[in-house]
Amino acid sequence: MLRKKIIIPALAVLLLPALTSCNDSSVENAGEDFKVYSIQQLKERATKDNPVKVEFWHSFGHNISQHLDPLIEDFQKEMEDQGIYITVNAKSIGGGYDGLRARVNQGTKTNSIPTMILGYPDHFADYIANDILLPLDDYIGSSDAEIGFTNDEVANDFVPSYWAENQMVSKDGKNIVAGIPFNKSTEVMYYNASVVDPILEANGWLTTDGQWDTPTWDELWTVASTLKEKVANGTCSWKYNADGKTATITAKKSDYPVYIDSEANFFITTARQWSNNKDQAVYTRVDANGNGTVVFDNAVTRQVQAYFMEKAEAGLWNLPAKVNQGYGSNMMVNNEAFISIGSTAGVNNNASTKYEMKVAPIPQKSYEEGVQAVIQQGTNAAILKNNSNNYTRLAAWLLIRYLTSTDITSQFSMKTGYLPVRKSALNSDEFQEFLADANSIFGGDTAKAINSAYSQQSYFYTDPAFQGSSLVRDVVDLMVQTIYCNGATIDSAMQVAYQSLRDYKINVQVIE
Amino acid sequence: MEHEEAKKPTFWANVGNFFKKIGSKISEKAAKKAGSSNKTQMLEWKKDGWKATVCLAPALIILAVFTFYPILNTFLVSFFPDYNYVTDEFGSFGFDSYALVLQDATFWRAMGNTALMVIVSVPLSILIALIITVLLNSIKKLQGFFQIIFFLPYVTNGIAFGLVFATIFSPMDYGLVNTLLNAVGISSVGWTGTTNIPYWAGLFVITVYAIWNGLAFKILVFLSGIQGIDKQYYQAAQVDATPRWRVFTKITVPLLSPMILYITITSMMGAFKSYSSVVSLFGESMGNGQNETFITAVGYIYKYFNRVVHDNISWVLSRASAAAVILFLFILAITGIQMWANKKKVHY
Repeated sequence: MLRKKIIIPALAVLLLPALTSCNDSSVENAGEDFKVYSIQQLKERATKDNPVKVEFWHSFGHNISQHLDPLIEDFQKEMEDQGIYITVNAKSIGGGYDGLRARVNQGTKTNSIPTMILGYPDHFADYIANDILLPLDDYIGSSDAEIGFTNDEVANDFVPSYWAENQMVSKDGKNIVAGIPFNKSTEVMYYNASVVDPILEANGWLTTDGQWDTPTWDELWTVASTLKEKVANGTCSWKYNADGKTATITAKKSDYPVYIDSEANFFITTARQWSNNKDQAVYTRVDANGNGTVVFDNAVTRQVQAYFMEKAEAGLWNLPAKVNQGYGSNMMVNNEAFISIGSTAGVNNNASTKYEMKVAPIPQKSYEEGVQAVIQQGTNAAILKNNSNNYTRLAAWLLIRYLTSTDITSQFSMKTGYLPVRKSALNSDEFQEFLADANSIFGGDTAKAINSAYSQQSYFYTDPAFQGSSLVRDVVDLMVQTIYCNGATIDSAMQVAYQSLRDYKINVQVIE
Repeated sequence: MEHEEAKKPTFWANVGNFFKKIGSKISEKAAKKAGSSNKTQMLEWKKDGWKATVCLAPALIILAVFTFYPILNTFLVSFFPDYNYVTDEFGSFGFDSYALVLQDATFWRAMGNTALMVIVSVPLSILIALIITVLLNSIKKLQGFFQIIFFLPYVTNGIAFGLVFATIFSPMDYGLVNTLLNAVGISSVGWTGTTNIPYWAGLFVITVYAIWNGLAFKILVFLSGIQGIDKQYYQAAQVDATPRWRVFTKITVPLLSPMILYITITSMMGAFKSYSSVVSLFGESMGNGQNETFITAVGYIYKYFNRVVHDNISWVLSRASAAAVILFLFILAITGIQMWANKKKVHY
């Protein structure tokens, strides 16, 4: 009996550390009040024997992290040369950006979160709501030239729309800078130029240097219907070079000549293009306190969807989901489609040795009047305050500063296809040379995508983030898929979407 | 009369008796094999009870932390509609989450889909497993080989399983089933995928998946049961020239009945928890976009739970918990009814 009394509590005691270790925080003074330390203070603390550790979470796969890791090593070396010892533990979290955010949201409760993180503004809205995000204003505004940014950098060097999407409202209603733009992308239109260029040329839409530089939706439908006719009468053929010989391909089947990858991007972008002015809210809007309202059930979106439905019913375009695929590039490389609208990050998936791939901006309703719009994508770097102290925060800030510097953003962009976040990087000789390679016969697909992406820079947009905005996007994704792939009417799909949002207590408003 | 009423075993006593009987059968066999007296062993255990406690303690502690505590927590959270997952603030007590779930047409559709999957797949899979077991047991040559063949799905990786299904039931023209259909002039069917899946087609694929997935374990249990039946019964039937069907219904099935009950209950519980198969076949939206055509009860729970971690919409955790509690009570009730109904038909 006595032994029983001893052994059971002993086992419980033994097991306890194993269970509580999940909640272990290795950061000294984690969550202390924020203060901007000087470089000298960091130097005194970050010694060789006791380096400052920065936990950095991203969600890049090997293709991207193989280019990021050497940059981090360079940063550590550069710091070491100054006598500051920083160890960055860069970790890729599975499940993409959604997985990354879910991991942070789950880890918040046990304070098992990193110091530095990449994320979208709607992720930051979650972190602000949970009071774990560190506003970067004090670092940015620091008078220490080794810490702060100059006013000129902020106002004129960072791409304004990238900087703008990080302007958010804190829990106590203050305007804050939530993150610094890091890896950016947008949507472009990939096409099989071997078969599309002759049609463009016949219509006079090709520039002298062979580019389709200002495509409109009307032009796209003309090209799509010509392609459809050609496939139907067996004349959709083109020549390509293989093993030094010229071969001919004839496309035998094409359910849809055009595919648009992202349901939500398509819905939001076209709604903006059809809106009366840039400030008209056609998707969501956010008030001064950061509270969001969904307004996508309105006359503009209904008109746009009716227009696109007519074209889909004519077999000119559809979503990849319609043919049970994830991306239009799958049909492109199988010669079953000839045009695919998707992210710049997907450039290599659209390229093929069996046709010449060209990249154009996404179509607009008009370039002369109304609103031009293309979505701005990609993440920003932020610092989380709960599992960090003022030394790890400063070390993380210096890393962000390094990674977004002119040289590094340029290098990262050229290797990965993401867009540089500074104008000075874009305008640098090295980067301009890289872009000029777009027309090289030796490749340059990434440069082609970046060229097209930047030609749309003046009308990049992002939607304001609020708590629940990512859910709204998911609901729109499903709504669009249900309209185009499952035969739902626009009315019923909109009603179901709004009902679903009300179910989650998201503010919705129908605008007649 | 009163005395008789008092003697009537309760539901929990029935559950206890069921496991006690299975346990004593096993220990009897073990004792026989070891050639020692079962009684003596039991006495030793009583005397050395602390040993049992120590041996069980790690498992009990782990179960308490990772199973019982989450279950209790689920019950608790379901009664606090404003529970905040991150801050652990409970808010006020109420039944709002239960009201929301019970008034939600999607929940009842999910329960309907789940019930249909249970009703179709469980009896079918048990029947098929039983037939295969009897056939396997009756063959002399290559019995081991066929046992391995039928047991293979049990040790096959889920991804490989998914790939096989994706090839067989691909909605594209090149899918195996669609190729066969096209060969006889029938147009392709959207068996799987995320869009344009007819209800009957999706349900057919889920059923085939569930049967295939669960068959190996069922055969394994039935085979061990059937091989444990005393050969004298079959010899007596042989002497009497009893027809095979009668031998099956009067000897094999009754003597396998404890195993059949066990398999029925565990299969039913498994089928009620269907989720991963539906997601792997029809995507996270569980079929046909907004329609969520094949949503299951657990799919409904996950739909809300995922919003907590993915979108930081904390309050829906209470709703997910309420749905989980309702499903738990539902499974408990069905299991109870099943055990009560089978009381006289199960022979130990």
